[in-house]
Amino acid sequence: MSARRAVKGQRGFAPRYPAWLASPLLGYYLLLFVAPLAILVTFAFARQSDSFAGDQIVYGFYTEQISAVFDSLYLNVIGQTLLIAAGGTLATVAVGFPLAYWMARHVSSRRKTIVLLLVIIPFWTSFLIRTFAWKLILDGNGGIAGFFGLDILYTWKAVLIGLVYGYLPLFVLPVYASLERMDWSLVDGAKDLGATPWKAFKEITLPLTRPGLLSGTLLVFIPMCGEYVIPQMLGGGRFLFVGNVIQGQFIGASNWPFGSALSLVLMVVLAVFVVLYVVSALKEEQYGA
Amino acid sequence: MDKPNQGELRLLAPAELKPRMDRLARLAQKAAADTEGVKLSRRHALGLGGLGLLALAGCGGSGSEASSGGGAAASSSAAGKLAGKPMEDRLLIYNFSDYLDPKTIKGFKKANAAVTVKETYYSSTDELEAKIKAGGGNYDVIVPGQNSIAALGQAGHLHELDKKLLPNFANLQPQWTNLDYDKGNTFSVVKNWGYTGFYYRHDVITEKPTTWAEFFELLPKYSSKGRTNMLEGTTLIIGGAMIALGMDPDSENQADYDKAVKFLEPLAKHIKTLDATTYSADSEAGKIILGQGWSGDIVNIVKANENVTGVAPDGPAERWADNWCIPADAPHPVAAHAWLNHLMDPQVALTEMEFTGYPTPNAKTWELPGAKKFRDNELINVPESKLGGYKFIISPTPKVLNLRQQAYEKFRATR
Repeated sequence: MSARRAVKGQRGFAPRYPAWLASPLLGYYLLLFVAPLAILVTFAFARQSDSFAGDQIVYGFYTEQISAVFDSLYLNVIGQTLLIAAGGTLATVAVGFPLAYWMARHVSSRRKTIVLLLVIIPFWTSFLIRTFAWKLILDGNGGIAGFFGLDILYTWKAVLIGLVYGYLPLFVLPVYASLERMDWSLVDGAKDLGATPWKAFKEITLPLTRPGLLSGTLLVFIPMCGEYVIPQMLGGGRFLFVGNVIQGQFIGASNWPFGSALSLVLMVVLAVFVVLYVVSALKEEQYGA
Repeated sequence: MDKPNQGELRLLAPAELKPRMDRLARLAQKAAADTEGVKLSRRHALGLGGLGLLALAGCGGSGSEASSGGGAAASSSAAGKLAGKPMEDRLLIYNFSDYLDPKTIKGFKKANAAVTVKETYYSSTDELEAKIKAGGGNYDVIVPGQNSIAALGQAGHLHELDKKLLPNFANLQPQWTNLDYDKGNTFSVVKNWGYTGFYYRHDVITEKPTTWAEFFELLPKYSSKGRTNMLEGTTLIIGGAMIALGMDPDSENQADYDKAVKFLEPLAKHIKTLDATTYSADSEAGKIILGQGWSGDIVNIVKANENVTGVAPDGPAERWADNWCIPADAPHPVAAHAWLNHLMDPQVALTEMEFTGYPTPNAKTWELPGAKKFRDNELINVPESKLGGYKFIISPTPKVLNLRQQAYEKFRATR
């Protein structure tokens, strides 16, 4: 979008603001993002003291915490987390895309606001409470799941349901936005020219909404990798996410350096996915709509 | 404690997180008390897992800034010099929420009219330790568990107790004084105690398990018959298993932890849930057929469900104790001693036991007529023959915590 800059000497229409106006934003960014990240990195390269007397953290540049993460135990946990999060993301796409499509295409514009509101409303309640509600719903001894003869609480199925439920709005909203923005006359045109609905979808709708689809997917996948409450509640503590291990390091073992190292490695792994996204988004900008 | 279920809000979260969220519980409780007097108990108070992570971020850094040089000097020089000093006019108590009867504070004020008493709360032992190590909290009385005393004492953060100011110390049962974690009661006196036992649905399980070894043996046999549960958290699963196996739960030897993991791994798939916060309510509803539990909860579960048998195990098991201590830099040490002495009064200890539901170490309290219902309950008044076999988990070094945590992750990662 910003690729075509005004040629020098030519008069631009963009308003000019002094650079210092960006300082609140910069301050916010430094204080709430860069500074905590710096603390995390500092901890990750520190080491835990050998005794409870005196300072609990010995600062320095020790790489032992980072290398300890590459123990098969933790690698397995990270791998398992990525796998479950990928499964949860796929399931979210499978549920969320049709929902977003329906909202954009088949809901009358008068009702769209209400439907959007219905998607957003769960956000007004604590995530924890909503997850707890699922515990009640899925309880095989309870009224609802019991009635249907379902007994999946404390299994991976319950964890998956919790993941899809918890992150659905995060996926639906960006996808809905890109479907809503789309020029549907293109699809009508394709159909007029003899394309089957499926082909029109594949050749037009899907490519045009890919940025929204990608950002929705990432928006869901990344927090799922850091998920902690859902496996604890719906998996009965028997499904180990890397978030639960990090929590254990901070609270159980009081080992902040190792907990930070685990967080850092997880962040690096997830950053790979973000880079993939940025690259594909840039390509989209170059060649796409 | 008579009606433990009424109005309690119980959410599932790991044991370690629970206390961190007590601050929320307090807020909720305060609001609730204004409307209908709802009460959240200490062990059950909200463990809001997700928020716990936020809380974590909030407390980051405080532990590392501990400066401990000054404390050591203060504690050694202050000892034994308090007798004869005048009582100060203030007392600040730093305690778990809902862990002290307000009537007790009123009673203390009546006896010491010149002292203004204030209580403020922490939500976890971590928070307490961090605050005390950082200094400057002006706390006069704190309530650390047995596993904090060594850490705080070693670093010189605790005031040596002046026994001359504690005549009521003589009331305590000998088995609850001079404990391993604080020989000679240099820094602490026991406030109240408990143990980790188990319970089972006797209409499902026909055996009569009485030891931890039998508990573990029954897991594979009955896991298909219903939900089995152990207390989420590093200490009570790894430490508990090591105690059951007759090992030292505070071992610094990797091989001991490997043994514990090897013992637990085949059992992992038979432990259906790891839960320390909602297990109690679920058990009262009969949803758990075999589970590990804290003594106070087991008492309530058995009371609420007639099909459940509670067990204070024979042979090795875990026990814990919360203690009254005075920080080394307490601004009002004389008043603090007066407080400790007041709490060791038999009648005061009885009202405290009624309020918290946890057994007191006060020998004279147990002889009072009002203590009958506690005396007759073997799940609370555990006979000394059993209690002698119960061990403290002290976690004396970071190495122990790390070995235990790693063993726990290995166990948790097992399907």
